[in-house]
Amino acid sequence: MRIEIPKDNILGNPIRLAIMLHLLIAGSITFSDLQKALNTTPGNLDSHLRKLERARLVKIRKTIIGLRPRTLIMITEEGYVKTLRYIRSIRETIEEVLLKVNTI
Amino acid sequence: MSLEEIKELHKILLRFDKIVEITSIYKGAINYLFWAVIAPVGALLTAVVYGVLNINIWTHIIVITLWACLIVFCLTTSRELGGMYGLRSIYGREENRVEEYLRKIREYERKELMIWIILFTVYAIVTVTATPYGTQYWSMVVTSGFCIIIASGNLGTYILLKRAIERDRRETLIVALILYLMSPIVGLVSLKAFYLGFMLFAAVVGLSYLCASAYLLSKFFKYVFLEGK
Repeated sequence: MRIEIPKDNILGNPIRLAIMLHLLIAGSITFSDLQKALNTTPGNLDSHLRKLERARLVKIRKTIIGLRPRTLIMITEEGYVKTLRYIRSIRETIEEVLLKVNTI
Repeated sequence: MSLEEIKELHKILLRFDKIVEITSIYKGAINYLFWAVIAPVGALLTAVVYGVLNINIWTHIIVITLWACLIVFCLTTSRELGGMYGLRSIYGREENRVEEYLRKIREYERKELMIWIILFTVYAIVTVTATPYGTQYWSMVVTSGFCIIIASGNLGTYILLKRAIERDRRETLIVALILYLMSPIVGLVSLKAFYLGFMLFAAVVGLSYLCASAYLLSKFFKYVFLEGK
């Protein structure tokens, strides 16, 4: 069976979607914590974060936490709404599929 | 992908939606709890500054700077938590397209800022220039006036939010109602003894935000313990 997932150039990527899902729950997270959680390389994570920042879904800020400089990633309201609606659209697509399967 | 896997994915997405809703409500409650602490602390620091220093233009500037720092600190922390717009988003996500929703929210934020600026300007004009300092009338206006200003600000927020996302955000209404109801009592106590009235004012502001936080926490626990089963 093939599911037609709603298209989104930014959130369509699994790593970027995972970043946004983490931020939906946490609100903000440090670069190192996010890297540990996603088990990815710093360069890869950084390039995905830049794309999300350009799309205004996250804000990246240099800050000092516990006397150490850290990179803090924060979700924006736009990021919050777009990710929520993207997940919702996937869910609705799945519901449609399940409904069709049940009626058949 | 098998049918079982699709069903499992659907369950996970439903659960995730719920988790986002619950954490947003929880963060909103923490945000109000934060205000419940900051507002009376700010009021008491104001009392200390006015008690230690003479009342002159520099004392007013120190107090205004103090409040500006506290408000900026609160708003920055609130944004880092993402609680308040998380609450807005989970309530207001169904109505329209993302761009339309964000346009409404930006308009709401602009209007909300204007309301608070107008209210605080009116308060500053009334207390500093229009009311004779040291009189009983002044004692009453400083405390109960501030209660009414914060209540009106929250009522304005409630009305604007209702227009923007077409949902009741009762926590702001709770803050407004408590402050409106308590402002005459605060005023009367201030007439008897100004410092007592000021302490009561600080307590009432803290209490109103605490009630808003308790309302959100009750919603949070309802989700976790009753609907989460």
